[in-house]
Amino acid sequence: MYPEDANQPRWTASMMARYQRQMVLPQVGIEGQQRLLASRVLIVGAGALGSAAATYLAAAGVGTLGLIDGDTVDISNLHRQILHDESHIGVLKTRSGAQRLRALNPDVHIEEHPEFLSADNIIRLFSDYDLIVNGSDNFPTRYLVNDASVLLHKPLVDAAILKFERQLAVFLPGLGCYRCLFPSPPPPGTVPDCAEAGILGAVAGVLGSMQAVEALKLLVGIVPSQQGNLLLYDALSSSWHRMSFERNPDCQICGDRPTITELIDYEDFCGSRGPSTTTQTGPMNLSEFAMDTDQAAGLLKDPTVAGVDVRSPEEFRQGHIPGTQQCSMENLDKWVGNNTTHRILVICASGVRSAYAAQYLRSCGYEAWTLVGGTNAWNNTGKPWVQLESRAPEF
Amino acid sequence: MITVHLPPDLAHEFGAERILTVEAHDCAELLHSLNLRYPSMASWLATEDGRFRQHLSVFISGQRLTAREVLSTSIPDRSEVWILRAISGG
Repeated sequence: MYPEDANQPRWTASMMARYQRQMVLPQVGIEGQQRLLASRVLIVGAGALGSAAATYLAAAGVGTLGLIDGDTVDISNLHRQILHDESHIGVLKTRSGAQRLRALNPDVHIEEHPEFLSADNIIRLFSDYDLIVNGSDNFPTRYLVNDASVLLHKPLVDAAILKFERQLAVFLPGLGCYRCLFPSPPPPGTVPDCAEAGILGAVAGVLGSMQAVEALKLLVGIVPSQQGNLLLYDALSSSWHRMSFERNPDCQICGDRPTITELIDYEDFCGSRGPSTTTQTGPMNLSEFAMDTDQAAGLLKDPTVAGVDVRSPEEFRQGHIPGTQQCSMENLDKWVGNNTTHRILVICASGVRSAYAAQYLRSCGYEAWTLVGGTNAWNNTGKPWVQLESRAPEF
Repeated sequence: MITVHLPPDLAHEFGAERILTVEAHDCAELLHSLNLRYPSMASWLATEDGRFRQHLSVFISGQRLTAREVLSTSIPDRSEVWILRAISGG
């Protein structure tokens, strides 16, 4: 009943007891459990997604689990990163996670990789594993993980979270990849990270658990769909939606004529090195219409130029550049209709929204500029700043 | 009428609802309708050469619009259109 195979882990009575309730599933059975015990899975990031995914994969008896993360545990992680607890603050996440997973299931061999992924180490790290589970928290790493998975023909279970929004996709070699869905990342500054936008810990657990489900299905040999699927989960409306996609023949890395044949500079690709690189995905050639803070300060002294701040009224009240007026994006048409000026410097927090607004105004015939780096850059220079008095809230 | 699901941060940026209904028969009309309600929204979504921006994934009735399809791509009545951008939190 339990075949002896020199390449398979040795069965014990304890294993049979531990996995009995999943082996009884006809889709798993003894063979499926044997496959799990012989599998090697790498979890990228021991954060919120990685914590939930690693916990269920270890509990299910995946033979070898690798954890890669160069970070240490911080108290702000604990509301969502369930691999760690207060006694591990300051400890490497890989060490903290490995201790928890070993205690959960001693059958599982845990490999700790206390380093940040890079183009220099990813091929070595990925080569040793059968499947990759991606729980990374930034765009450069997401594209790096995708490209290495494609180049090494590794299946990738990918997920990402933001506020109450969740995306999950399984990318199988030859059936499409992350770049088929998103050929380029959003312009820098347009999509906040979890630190800025917030995240409900339990919701991250839902998606990390889903990653474990998808990984386990692949490992036990449940034949996946031959079409890519992107699952969307909206925790606010408690709704799931499934979207289908196919390999993009024009994909830069898995298309018919790939232009990316080796790893690239992902910080550069994602425009993470400052405003000059936003031209890659931004609305226009910024150099033509972009003003740095000194140029903007000079421009605002010109009485024929209006400074228009397209941030929300709340952001504007918290602080703004002297002499500028607030006008939300949706009210731009009304604003220009009520003002005679044709020369407008558009301002926002980071320079992304204002770039789009300036492009729009130019398309309407106005002479418009954008402040590169927005009010963030302005504040960094120590230039004048108007901060309206804020009152303590009344309860 | 078609139903459009906007990325939450884009909807917030323009003070729009995340889920809208518009009258449109193809992607160009969809963008035109959105732009009438929310000036400059179209330039967030599409380039001047008539394609959705590369960082967006657009799905019509659950099927992804491929990169080769352009804004003249038709949208059947009562379709659900999802406009997604990547998110990165983990």
